[in-house]
Amino acid sequence: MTFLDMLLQQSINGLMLGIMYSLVAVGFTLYFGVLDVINFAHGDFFMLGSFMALVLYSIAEAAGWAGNTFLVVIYLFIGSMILTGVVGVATERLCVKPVSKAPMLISLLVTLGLGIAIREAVRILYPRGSDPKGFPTLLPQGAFNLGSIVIRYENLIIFGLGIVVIIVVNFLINRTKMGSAIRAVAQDGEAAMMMGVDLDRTIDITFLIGSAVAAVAGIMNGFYYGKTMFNIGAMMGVIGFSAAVIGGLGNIYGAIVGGILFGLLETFAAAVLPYGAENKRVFAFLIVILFLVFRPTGILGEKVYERV
Amino acid sequence: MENNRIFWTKDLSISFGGLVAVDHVNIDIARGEVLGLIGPNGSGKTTIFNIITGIYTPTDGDFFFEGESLLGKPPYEIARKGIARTFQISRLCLDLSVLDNVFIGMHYRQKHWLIDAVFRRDLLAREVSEARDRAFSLLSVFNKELVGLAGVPVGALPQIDRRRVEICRAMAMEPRLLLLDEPSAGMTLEEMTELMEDIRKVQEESKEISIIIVEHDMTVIRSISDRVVALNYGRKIAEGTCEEVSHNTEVREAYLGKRGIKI
Amino acid sequence: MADENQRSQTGPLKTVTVLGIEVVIYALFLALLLMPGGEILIVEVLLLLAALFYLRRNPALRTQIQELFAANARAAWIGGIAMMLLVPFFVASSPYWLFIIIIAGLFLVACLGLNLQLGSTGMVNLAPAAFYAVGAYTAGLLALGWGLPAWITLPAGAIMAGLFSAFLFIPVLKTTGHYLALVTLAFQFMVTILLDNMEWTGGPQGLKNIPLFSIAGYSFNTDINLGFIVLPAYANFYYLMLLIVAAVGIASLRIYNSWVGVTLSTIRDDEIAAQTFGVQVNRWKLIIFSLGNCFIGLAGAFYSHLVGFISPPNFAFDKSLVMVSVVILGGMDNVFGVVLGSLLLIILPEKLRVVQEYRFLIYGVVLIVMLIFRPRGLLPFKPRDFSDLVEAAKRKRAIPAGSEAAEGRA
Repeated sequence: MTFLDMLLQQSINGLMLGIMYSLVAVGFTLYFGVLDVINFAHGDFFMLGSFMALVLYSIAEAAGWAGNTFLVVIYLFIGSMILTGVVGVATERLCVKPVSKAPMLISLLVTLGLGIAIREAVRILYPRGSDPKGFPTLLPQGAFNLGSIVIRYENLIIFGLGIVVIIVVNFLINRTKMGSAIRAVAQDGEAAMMMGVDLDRTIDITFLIGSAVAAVAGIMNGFYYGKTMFNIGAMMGVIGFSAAVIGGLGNIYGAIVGGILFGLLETFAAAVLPYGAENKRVFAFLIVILFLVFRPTGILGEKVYERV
Repeated sequence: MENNRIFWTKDLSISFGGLVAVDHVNIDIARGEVLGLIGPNGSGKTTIFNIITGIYTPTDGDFFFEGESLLGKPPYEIARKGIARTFQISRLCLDLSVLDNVFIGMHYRQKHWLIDAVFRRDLLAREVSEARDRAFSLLSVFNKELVGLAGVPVGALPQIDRRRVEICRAMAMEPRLLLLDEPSAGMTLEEMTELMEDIRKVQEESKEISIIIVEHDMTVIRSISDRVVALNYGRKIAEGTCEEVSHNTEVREAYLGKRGIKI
Repeated sequence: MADENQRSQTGPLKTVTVLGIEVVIYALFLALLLMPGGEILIVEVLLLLAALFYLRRNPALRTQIQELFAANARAAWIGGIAMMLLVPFFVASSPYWLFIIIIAGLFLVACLGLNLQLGSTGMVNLAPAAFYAVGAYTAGLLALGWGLPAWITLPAGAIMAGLFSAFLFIPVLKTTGHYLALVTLAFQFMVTILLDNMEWTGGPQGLKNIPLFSIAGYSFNTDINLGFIVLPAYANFYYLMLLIVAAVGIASLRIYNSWVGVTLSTIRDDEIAAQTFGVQVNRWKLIIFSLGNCFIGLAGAFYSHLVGFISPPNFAFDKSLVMVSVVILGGMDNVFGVVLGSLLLIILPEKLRVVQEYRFLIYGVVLIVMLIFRPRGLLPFKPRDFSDLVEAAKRKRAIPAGSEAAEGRA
């Protein structure tokens, strides 16, 4: 395998991971837009999505209609998106929105607390929730070769699905009335309200979208690694937040670019650096810190002048 | 006049991303003088203050205080040279007491440091009690009642008293140049007159102090300043006594005339 | 008027009242530790809520109690210190609780450091556990590798944590708010991952058999036999912990009650205003960030010699989360708030072991509820009152020069 091949192979792996990160990062960016809040519990919605899928799958199995793999996969995704989205809106109403006007530290700690609560609820409610949970193998296995590069069908499907979700979210935000309300609130909540935008409803919808998209990422992650666990949310939250910031907080395209960049950083660090495999995230976080120091507005962010 | 001037700018300019906010402005002020800086919103008055206090770095030009260029100096150093300011939107620390807020103005004169804070309480006690006496005498220049409220968080005071505390905080630095940014903002006519009285008292207390006051209300300017500079779109459009400037056609246009200019 | 009030607040009866209140609180605290089962917890929580509610409805009573304690400060302090010293005697029968109290004390030391950063200066630090780890591993490695004694490894741990702050110096200056939160969060995860992967720190197994404290040949791992009572070995650690808590606590109180405290508050509330009043914001931020981490590292080093075995999970993000919640729930920039916060957040979860399974869930929910309904913490920031310092200065002026030694206390 030549060096170039290795690079290509890693890029493909990185893109796949990156698309998952992007889906989580989109939520961070959306929430920051409409509520000026960083929702540190967002990573746990990623986890929650995967567990919802597991619950839905066991229901399907018990009912005996888990036969048609294609339909089951669609059912898992849609069902989990709806359930996770509803939980997302409920928690937003209960504890995120009430603290959105509070000092940043308060909202930070409340959302961290929310993350703990979700994590623990899953651990307690799911049977033997402390153990890693195997994910059903529903996506087609096997791989094909492209030159010397190996591409697995599963990864290809996950990647394609990620792209579809991103296109849909982009369409929702930029092409629909609801999306223009979200953008208006992100620009200036009060002005949007005066122009007839229903602020509460818009925030609800934003959280519905954000949580549902995180759920998609969670299920993709489950398929990819073949398992999930109650505590994977914290790390994913930090990664998603990092990705949103690298790209430029408040900018949806930024979140996507940031997520993919983070995925690429990780895979390349694992492949190229000495001791890279186990320390890939150390390297990725180091780059994040450098980004924050030298370009805090992110790749796609604009420079803002502080008004004195 | 030339020899007596304490502060002057030379072709001071700044632009933000291509937008010129201050355009080759030359102003100067003599020791003990009160200079009014007027102009419609967005004419660059506050920006000039932000440049003088080192918050913004000018893109072109220079400014001098007591003969020394302050270009590129960090805000804290400029403050320590003897330039104090107030802000248009009050930037007091609302959770802190009135006394603490005034103390901030005296902070850099204290010999006291971290190690002393922990190990030399006697030194601290001496400094604090001296500083408190001075703060009380400053506060009582403005309003005797403020002394009694010294322990109250500033956030609990009415607007006019906050403004007074802010000026006290600036005066506590014993500045030789004081920059007042719209001290009358958000006040009633009555409160404004009271405040003007206070500022005059400040001047009487220390004859040496020079004041640049930003306003767009001409009544305030007329009652207090010796000389007026008018700005529009970041450029100096007139200079002279209050009468002269208020009769200047360009100034009148800027304020009243052309449509599209917010007043 | 104030003087009159003060006079009426002193006298033997008043002193007894102050001590009485303290004894009641102390007794409730000990009962919480020593009574088995969870019922006592419920009873006391209800009592606490009732007391808080009653005091809220009667602000007059509250100010009266405050004035009472202020007027009898000396008696209150002496009583409090005596009670602190007696703790090992009362819990001699259950060393486990003594251990938990020591842990609470260590968290207090660390959280006082964090409070300097977070509470006093407004610098977000979500990585206190990372600096705790630096202190602990420094002490552990020095003791294991070079056999250095505890009186060297303790300060070494503190200093090393202070030096490690330098890794974040540039981010601390260049970022604020959410961005600084992310930087420190990333740092926290970096440190945990590295600890897991590096061989010389023992990897996931961590460091084992770190020698416990022993000073001048006296091993801290021996019971104290006083004849009439045998105190568990943890009593040694307890008293050393108390000493460190006292030192760090007094330092924190004094920093708060000084020009430095005023300066830090200004930086927290409005950096730009602080700068235009001559405050060297960047310098102070670096000093306080390092100093705070020194405190945290000191606690970590102590921990290492207390348990003798450290591994990466001891320093994971959830520990940071606990420290941050101690400061915010207790009360930012309020030393007593941090004391209360660390007692509650370390001891109550242990008590909740009865409901082991739901412990963290309860923790998360309580965190959310408390912050939504009491965002300024249990003991919020109070405006500084320099009057005791001014009094001290006046007294000093009254005393002729030369008798300075008599005033050493101040």
